[in-house]
Amino acid sequence: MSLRARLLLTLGLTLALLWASAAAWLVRDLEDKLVETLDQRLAQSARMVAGLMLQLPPEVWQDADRRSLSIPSIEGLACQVHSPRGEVMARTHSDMQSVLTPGQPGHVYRRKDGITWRVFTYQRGGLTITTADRLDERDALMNGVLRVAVVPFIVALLGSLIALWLSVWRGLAPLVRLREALAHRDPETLSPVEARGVPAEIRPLIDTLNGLLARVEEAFTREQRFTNDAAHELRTPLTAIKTHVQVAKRVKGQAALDALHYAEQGIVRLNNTLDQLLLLARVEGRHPGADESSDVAAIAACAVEDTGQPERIHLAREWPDARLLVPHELAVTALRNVLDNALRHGPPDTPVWLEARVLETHADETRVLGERTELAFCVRDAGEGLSPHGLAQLTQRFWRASNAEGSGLGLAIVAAIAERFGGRLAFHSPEGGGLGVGTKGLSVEFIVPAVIPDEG
Amino acid sequence: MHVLLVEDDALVASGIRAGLATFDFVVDSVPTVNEARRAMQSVHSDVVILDRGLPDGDGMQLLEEWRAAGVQTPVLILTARDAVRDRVDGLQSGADDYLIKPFDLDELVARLYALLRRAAGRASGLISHGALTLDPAARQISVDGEPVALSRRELVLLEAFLYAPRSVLSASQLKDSLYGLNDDVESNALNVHIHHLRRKLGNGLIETVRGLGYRLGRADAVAVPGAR
Repeated sequence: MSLRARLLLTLGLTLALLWASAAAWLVRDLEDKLVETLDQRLAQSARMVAGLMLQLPPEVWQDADRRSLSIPSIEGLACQVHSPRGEVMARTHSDMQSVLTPGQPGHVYRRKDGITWRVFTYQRGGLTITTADRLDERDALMNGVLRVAVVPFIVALLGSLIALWLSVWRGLAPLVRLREALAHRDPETLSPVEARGVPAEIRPLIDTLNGLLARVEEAFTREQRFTNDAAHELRTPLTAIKTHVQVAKRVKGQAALDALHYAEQGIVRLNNTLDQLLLLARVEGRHPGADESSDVAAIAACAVEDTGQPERIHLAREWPDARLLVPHELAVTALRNVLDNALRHGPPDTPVWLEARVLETHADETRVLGERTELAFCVRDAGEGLSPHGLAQLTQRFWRASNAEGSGLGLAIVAAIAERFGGRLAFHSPEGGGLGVGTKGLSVEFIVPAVIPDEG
Repeated sequence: MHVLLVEDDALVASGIRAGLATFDFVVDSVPTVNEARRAMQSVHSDVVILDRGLPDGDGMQLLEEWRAAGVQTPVLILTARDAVRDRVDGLQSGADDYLIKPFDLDELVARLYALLRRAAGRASGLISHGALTLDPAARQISVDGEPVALSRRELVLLEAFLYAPRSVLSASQLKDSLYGLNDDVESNALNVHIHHLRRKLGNGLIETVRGLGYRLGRADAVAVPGAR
């Protein structure tokens, strides 16, 4: 059921029900009041007749003994006066003896010839006066009053129903426009939904929708760029393999062997690039686990071992007493990539320095056990460093400094791992404002959240 | 024919170098935009193979720079990007041809010859000069249909003359066609090769233009086979 139909039905029914109960109440009240008022009028008439009769001179009653007086009749109202002896002294209708026979004082209903009368009996100064009026007269009056009251009542009800329909229609118009705008959109479009003229209640919805669309578009663009870049990266080693294989077919002897050797190098590179791409995809699709942590010294040892050139790496003497909030395997991969990068970009056979330190989040505070903090692995090479332009491009996928080997994905993977677990990468180069006097080469800091273990 | 290869990936560059060498191309390869700029100034290249993504810039910008400076050398763009937009951009920047990685060596060679032919204003794949016919792709020289045995350097030298039949070629230009930047060249090597060519195909085949260099002789100067 549409929102509009539901609103119209609920509000319309409620309105009709309220108006109907109000009307029923009104009618009942009106009827009571009318009966009361007309009864009072009947009693007043009887009292008035009594007052008049008592002021008549006594001679009048002499005649009355013989012949009753006739009072000119009024439509729908009858009256009869009895003497103390019970004789009819005066009356309006001679044919209404049965109705107007005095009874107990007060109001009663009497029927005669299919007509119901309201009869009032009143005694004063020995006289008994009965007055009566026709009930159908009373009903006619009641109907007249109702007619006068009901017509505006119904007009008002209809008017409010129309007003209800109009305001629901107008009030929901922005929703209808939004629905139509969405229905007519190209499903492929990721452009934001028009938010002009939208009521404040729906604006958060549209803002959320537009935010979602923007994120989807961003992810889409990123994926597209990544696919392009990945295709580019896979094609380059593939080209090397293909060309060398074709050369191997055309030449003989040592030259052919050399060509095949180069082709094999290309295959190794293709394989590495694929591995790195898959790793990147896995890292990006992974959600950080709640209680995964790993030991700083163990990570450093594994990563150094994995580089294949542990003899070039100068390790720090001590490792901070902290646990990284990153799974061991990913932390090792990230650190190994940073080390590989340094080994590759530093001049051959020069050392690479690796150390780790806990970052002071609040300079004046002493370290609290169990508190969350950040730990930085710092890797520095003995190379020339990088220009600020180079620094800015370091974590871009497939970017390589000069024509160095490597997939160009290493630091992009480190950055992805760091970001995934709430950390970051920082770079310092002598040219780009170095760490301090005497340092040389590019420093890469792999910073991730860590906890100081609770020894207690 | 001298090829300037601008390619940053060492493995790809070595493959292209080795592949083109089997077709007697002399290839110099440089990995960066800067080195390509220097090489273009110092060496005469007959054709350039240009990679787009270079570490210190886009090959496209280098190409635009060359074209603006009036460099006429045919350029073949090599790229791993195959979006139509990229191709159109490449051709509009003054590239003569476009090849997508990974490519077939034979196709690369065929396209290079097509570029050289177009630059020389020739329509046919075979190059004739009087009784002399060169099949560049087959590396075959014949006179009156009879194959003539030439050394690799002699063939390359003759090719340079045949591709520029009306021009005077300087000694340094001819050396660039014969040797790469890293080859050791003896000072009289060029004279020796020219001497051999004249002996095999007639003295009038190559004329000496005093003080300027050499040029291809008249078509009827080609000696008939069997003289040797």
